[in-house]
Amino acid sequence: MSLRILLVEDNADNRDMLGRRLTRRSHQVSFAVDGAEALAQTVAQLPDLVLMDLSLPVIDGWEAIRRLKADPATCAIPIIALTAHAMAGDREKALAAGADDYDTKPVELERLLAKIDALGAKRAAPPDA
Amino acid sequence: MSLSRIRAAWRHSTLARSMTLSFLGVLVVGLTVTSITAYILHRNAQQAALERVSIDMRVAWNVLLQKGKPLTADNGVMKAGDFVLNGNNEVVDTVRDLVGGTATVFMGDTRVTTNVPTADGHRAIGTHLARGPVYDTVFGSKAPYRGIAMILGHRYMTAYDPILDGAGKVIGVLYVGRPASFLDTADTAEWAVIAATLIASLISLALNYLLGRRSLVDQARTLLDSSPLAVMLSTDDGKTLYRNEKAFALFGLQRNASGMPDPDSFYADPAQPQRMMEAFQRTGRLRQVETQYRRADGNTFWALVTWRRMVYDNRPAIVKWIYDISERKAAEAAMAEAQRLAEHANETKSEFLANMSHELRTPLNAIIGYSQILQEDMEDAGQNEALPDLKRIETAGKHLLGLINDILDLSKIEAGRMEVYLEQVDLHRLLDELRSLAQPLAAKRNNQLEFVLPPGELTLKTDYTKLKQSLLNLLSNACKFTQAGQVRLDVTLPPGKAVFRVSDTGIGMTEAQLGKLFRAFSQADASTTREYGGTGLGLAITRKLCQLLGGDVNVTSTPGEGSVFTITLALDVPLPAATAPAPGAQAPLTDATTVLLVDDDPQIHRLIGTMLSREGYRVEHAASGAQAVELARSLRPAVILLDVLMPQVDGWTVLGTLKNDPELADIPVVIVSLLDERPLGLSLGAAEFLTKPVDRTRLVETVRTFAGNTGGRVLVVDDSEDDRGATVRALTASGYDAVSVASGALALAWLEDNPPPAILLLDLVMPDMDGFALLDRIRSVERLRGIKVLVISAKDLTSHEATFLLERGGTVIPKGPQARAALLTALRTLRI
Repeated sequence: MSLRILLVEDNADNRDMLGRRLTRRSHQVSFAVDGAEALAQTVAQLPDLVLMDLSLPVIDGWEAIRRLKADPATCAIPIIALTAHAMAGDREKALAAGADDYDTKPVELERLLAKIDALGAKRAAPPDA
Repeated sequence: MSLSRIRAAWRHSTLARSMTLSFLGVLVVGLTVTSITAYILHRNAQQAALERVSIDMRVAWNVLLQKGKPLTADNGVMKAGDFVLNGNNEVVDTVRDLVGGTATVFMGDTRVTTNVPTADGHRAIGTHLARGPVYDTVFGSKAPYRGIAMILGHRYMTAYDPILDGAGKVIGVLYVGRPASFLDTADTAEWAVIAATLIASLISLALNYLLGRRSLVDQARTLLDSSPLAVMLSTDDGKTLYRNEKAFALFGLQRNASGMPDPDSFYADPAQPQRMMEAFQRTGRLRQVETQYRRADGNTFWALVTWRRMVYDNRPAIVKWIYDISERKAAEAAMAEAQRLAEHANETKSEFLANMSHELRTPLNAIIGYSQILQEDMEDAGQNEALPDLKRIETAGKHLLGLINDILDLSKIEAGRMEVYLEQVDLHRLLDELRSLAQPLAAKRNNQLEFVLPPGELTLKTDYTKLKQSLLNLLSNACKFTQAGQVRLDVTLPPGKAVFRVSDTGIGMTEAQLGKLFRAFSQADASTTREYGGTGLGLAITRKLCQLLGGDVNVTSTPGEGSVFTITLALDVPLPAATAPAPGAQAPLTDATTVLLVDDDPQIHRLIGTMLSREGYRVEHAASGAQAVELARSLRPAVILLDVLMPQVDGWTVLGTLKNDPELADIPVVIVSLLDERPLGLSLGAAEFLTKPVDRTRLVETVRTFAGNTGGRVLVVDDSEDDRGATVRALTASGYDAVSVASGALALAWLEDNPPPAILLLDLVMPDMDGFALLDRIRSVERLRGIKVLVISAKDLTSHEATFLLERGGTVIPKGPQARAALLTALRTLRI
């Protein structure tokens, strides 16, 4: 399944690596480098899924997720929060902010792909009654 | 014999003292009797003389009027009828012969006939009646005079009658009298006795004072002067009445300094004397107040000061005891500084590690990531020769990353920044995830992985991530040190506990290896690092995580047979059965914090109502969404507990209405729902999200977080009456509702009869039940488990005791001058 994925990541290396690996798995990847750009790009592109780093400049990831989930135009787009290390409470905070799932960096590609596929499938499926 | 020897003899001779005292007694009684007798005699003699002279006067009148009538005074001649009285002493001498006293006839105020003698023995004819009371009575009031009078320098008992002419004018005076020397002699003799007795008594008293009382004062002074405490006596307005040797030395004063300097000038803080005096006048005493003084040379020192009221020289005075604690203060300051430096250094270290870890991780991610990408690219291109090297780069990078992550964890735990997120953890879900993570590790060394857990639904309130991390660590170790064997995880739930037992059939460990197992950077053996890899931090972290979760991890092992690691966690309190509200529990407390409970289920109202009422909250009930908004507006509760699934108006709608009303938007809303829709709830503005069935501790904690404390009731348990009183006073002054009991047993009785207090202040050393036992009991009673416990201890705790207290949630405050401040700080922290 090919998805349009917005990857929000301020570190150029990480952006490049994960972008290349996702592209290799036939996803279409676009990028944003901070929380503000993430909001603008999400509204503009309405991607199938957002991969959101949490420690971001301008607007941090938690806030960006909260705003996207509060906007009726973007609230249905699944978001996977990514953070550098499983800090205590990061997962809870990300989920509390409204992220649909959570993963840690460095990315275990297979695990992340499984999560992407699961959320993509859910989105593609007809909504529940 | 010198005075000092007499004094010494006096001090040592009880007999001398008692004899003197007896003598004194006799003297005092004698003096009194003599005085009374003399007074009575004197009065009687006077009375008799007075009666006598009145009779004499009647005789005199008879003698005079027998010479002729009327009495006239014309042209300088006084006559009775034709009888000329001037110079004719017949009348007065007849009177003297008849009555034995003297007699005189005055013309006007001049004596014309008399037998009263002058100083040279002649008749006092031609002399005058002296001005005075007699003259005034006779001439002024025209009345008779009776009584003692001085006549020509002598005392007489006298009678004077005015002689009136026909027109009522005073033309002369008739006098009779007798010398009053009999009175003089009586007086002299008796007053001499009285005076002698008096003088004797005074001498005795003076002697007694000199020898006895003086010695008591001396003894007291000697006693005070040898005291290591400075003692001062002052008046309320600050005048110094007395100061002992130590007081002079302490303040650097000379004994012979003229006058005593104003004691207020001794305080380092000029506002201190007034503060102390105010406190003293409020409570009637000061007890061990820490005060900084200034010596005469300008240097300052710290002292513990106690003031008490006393009477000195029949005046109210203040006795001030001053104990120099400069050395202790200096030691404390040095210790605090050392502590601060150590803490600062440790914080700096932890911060540095945390920052460094982050900085190290970023490039490391690139190394790992690009080595993976290169491997993938080469696999695609079929260039396999460089693949093993790239794999080595990736493995080394991942090892380094693991190390860095562990260091970060450890430094966060040590810096106290590792937070615990408690939630209801589904054990099946946890074990499923663990199995998927551990299976590849087990497969690597051909190990069988087996999980055993009791049937049925299993939930546990704990931190999911930390428990998972701990268990994964143990499983990963077990897999690492076992080859083609078995790795097992057994979960059992004995009452009140959850036990996770990870056992393997691996290489095992010796006693010596076990000893240093849980230390950071230490594997069982340095060689194991080379052989098996790993950071040596895993078990240290695991132990610390388990302790954060309120448990611990332990190990048993036999070399060559395998190891067993056991994590034991204290289980959360089971949900209490719904009970009828305690009598009075529903009565609204006027000053209690109000909680509005919104639910359509009456069962929930009863259950949560009881839980919160017991904590002292006032619970108001709304059965529908519409009613909820109405009550929120009228009651303005401190917090609202809101159910989601309600007929007609559901919880989400209520939440929206509340959050869109500017007046109500600030009231924290806690969603209590069957469905776990936490993210939705929080995004809609809920302050917190709790799932049903409601966990009591969690509920109370949450309500407390948002509604604040219910007036903060504090139970003080201390066997020292003084300390108890002081603590209660300090707490009351700071706005707490403090009650106190004198022993552990009384505390238990109190706790049984009263709603649990928010905080228990516990002394450790007490008779009957000590603080340790009481704390243990409290933690074993479900209803009391939520009480926060502050331990005030004068004793140095052994590590075993400290652990005991820590495990039971007791915060320790050392007893001492700083205890009160530390206590209030701790209370404020707990109150949040």
